[in-house]
Amino acid sequence: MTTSEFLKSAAIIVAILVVFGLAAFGLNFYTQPLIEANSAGAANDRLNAVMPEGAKGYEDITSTLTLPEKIHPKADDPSSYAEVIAVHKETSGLGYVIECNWGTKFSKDVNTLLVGISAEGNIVNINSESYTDSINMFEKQSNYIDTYVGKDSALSDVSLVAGVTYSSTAFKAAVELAFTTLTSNNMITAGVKSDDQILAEFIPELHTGLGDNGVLKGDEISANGNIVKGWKSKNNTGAAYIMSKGEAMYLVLVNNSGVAAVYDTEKNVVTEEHNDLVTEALASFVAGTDYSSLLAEKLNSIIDNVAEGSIRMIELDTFNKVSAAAEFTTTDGNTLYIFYSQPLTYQNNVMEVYTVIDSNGAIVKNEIGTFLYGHGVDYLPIYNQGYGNLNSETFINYENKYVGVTEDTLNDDLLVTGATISSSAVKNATADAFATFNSIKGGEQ
Amino acid sequence: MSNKIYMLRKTPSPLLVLAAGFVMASSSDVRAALAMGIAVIVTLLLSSIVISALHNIIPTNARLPIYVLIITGFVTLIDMLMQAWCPVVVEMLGVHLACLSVSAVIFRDADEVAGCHGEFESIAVSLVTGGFLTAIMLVCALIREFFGNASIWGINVGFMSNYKISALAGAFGGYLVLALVLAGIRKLGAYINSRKENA
Amino acid sequence: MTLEIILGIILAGLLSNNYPLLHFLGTGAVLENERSNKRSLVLGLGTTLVMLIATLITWPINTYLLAKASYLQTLVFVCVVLVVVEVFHLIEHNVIEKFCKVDFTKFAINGAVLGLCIHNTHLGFVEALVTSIGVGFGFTVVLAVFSALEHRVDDDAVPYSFRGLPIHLLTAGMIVLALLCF
Repeated sequence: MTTSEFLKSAAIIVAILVVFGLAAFGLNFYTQPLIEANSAGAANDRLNAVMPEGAKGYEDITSTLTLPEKIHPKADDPSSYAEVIAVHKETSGLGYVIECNWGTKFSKDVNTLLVGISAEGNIVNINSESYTDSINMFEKQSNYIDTYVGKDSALSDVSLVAGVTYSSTAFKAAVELAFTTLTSNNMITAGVKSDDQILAEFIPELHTGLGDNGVLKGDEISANGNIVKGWKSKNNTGAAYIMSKGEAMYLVLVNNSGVAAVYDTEKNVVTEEHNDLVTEALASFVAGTDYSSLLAEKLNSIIDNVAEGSIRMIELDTFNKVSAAAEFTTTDGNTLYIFYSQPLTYQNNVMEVYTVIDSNGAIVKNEIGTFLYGHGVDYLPIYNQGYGNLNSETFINYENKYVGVTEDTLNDDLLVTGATISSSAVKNATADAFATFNSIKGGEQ
Repeated sequence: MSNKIYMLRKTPSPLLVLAAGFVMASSSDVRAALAMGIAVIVTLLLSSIVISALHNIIPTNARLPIYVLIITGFVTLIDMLMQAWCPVVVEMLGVHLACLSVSAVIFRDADEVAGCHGEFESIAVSLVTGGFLTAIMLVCALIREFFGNASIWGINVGFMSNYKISALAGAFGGYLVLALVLAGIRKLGAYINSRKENA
Repeated sequence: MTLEIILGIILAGLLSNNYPLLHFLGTGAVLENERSNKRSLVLGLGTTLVMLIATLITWPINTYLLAKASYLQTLVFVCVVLVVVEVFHLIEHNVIEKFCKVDFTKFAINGAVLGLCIHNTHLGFVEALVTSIGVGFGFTVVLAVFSALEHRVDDDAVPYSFRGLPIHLLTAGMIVLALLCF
């Protein structure tokens, strides 16, 4: 390369660099503001999605607040949790976006929720940023998130999704925690729970036949007359009605024997004062299922010395998973009791448990009619299946573990790892059988 | 010209060997493919025009740096505009947009065509080359986005979401789909050729 | 920075951070056939050296000069790469050309070098230098593997439509599948 060629090349290169450098410099005046707006917009997009139109910008105020502690909403699942991780304030005062995480043993460990709450304290929108299990949740109940939109911290009419109870419990707990964050820091006022909401929350506790680990489970009954809302149990253990009378609301529980009880919003029993409500509820309930022949047949197959003609059905006055009870005597003169209960297990499938208790309150036999275990579509009785830790041999041992158990010795040793939900359903059913037994014995004395 | 059109029949041509990198990188999403295609066409077009206009005063020995700098200059400007107008796509393309400036395809086009031919031929060739690459990218992107990501143009295709093959959206999918598309094009080319001979 | 981290970065450059195969940078250079093993090695190691020197220069430029004008990044980086290649050419061409002929444009026209320089701006200085060595080694290995593989693909056994580039792409795809495990 000659010197002149070299100089020429260098001059051209310098010229090119100068031209493009200047062009880029000039163009930068146009693009720079746009690029900055884009990057700011991208960060705010996720927050804007849960705020009303016209949100200007956000300020992270997490560090200035006292956040509520992480909670574990499902008592029987220590890995379930809900926690608040960040709070963003909309700068023009439209509201707040609270970032929460939740998880359960059935879902991903970390599911992030963005809860947008307006300055008035109502949910604007919720965005589930990462969901695997919640996809299932949304499929089971379409527009699940829509049931939250517009609600205040009382979250009235927001239910859990049957079959995805763990995830929806944690989801709801996360949303409640978002509200707690704002109310405890006095940023919004708490919503007031309506009477029917308060009463509905009593049901899982007062009528365990319609409750499962504190969650209301039942088929909804449409409103009719004084009945505002109602649920019929999925396992023939009765029904629950929320009824209005004048200004007040009452909860009416009915069991399979057609016995009813009325509660007011203070959880006081007011059956005597409101017999008209009982009549109306029983009219709606029609009649319970008659299990007398089933019990007789079962008794003869599991107890070999039942005295002929001694079986006498007992009217239930408890409200729990027990849907039938009977008293009978054996040929050697002992009086025993049998309780038939139908606890719910995986995805609301019904199991059958027959508990035979002697007059001293000890279990003679705990026969499990169908023990359902497993995920997916196959809910097989596991007599001959080797599911979990329960094959047919250990299954008999499992049943035998209940023999001699009294109410005081009913404990977590009776659970089976690998079949926790099913075995805790049996345990809960047995506890209800003891409760019913105590009520019968109490009545006799 | 006829050479270039002939090239389409005989693909994979040397052109695609050199372009394989950014073709595969930008073919996981239809938006990215289209944006990359436009960037390639515009860069080819502008650099061809400038280079063919200047080719008489550019010393032969200094071709490489001068051509590359001209291309880079245009890529820089296009990059800036795309960042302003379509940041989503720029994020998807990442460093590949900048790397267009040292892409062998554009350099070869500049070197072999624009450096020794007139403007009009250069423009025609860059349009054919750019259009061809864009078409390949779009076809690959349609396949990869639909089957790999269950979406088209970033919009989810509901019924596919349970059947998507995630591997197609990744690096492996890039190789597989490009290979299949090229084989398909060659089969088609052979078919057309045989039809022509028979006719 | 411990030895463990350094080895980790270099290993990543060979496997999980492999530029030509997983990031599609410099793929063109790899897929170009008709190359002897010796030339692949020279091309690969030369590129590694260019990567290292270019990173050595571009990283400080980007950190201290371009902080306010990031839009000039590509232009400046390309200039640096061109200068590095040109200087490299002037100093080394006598030595290398005795060994085998190498087209020096290949060093400059390589997306991997520019891509690496841009990626490296997000890393610390020492980390960036180690990464460029790792990525360079990865590039070299892929080049060598590919030139060896190309001789072994029996074109007659491949269906007509797949001969040439498609079968090479599929081969590369299979290597990618293996690399994806890392």
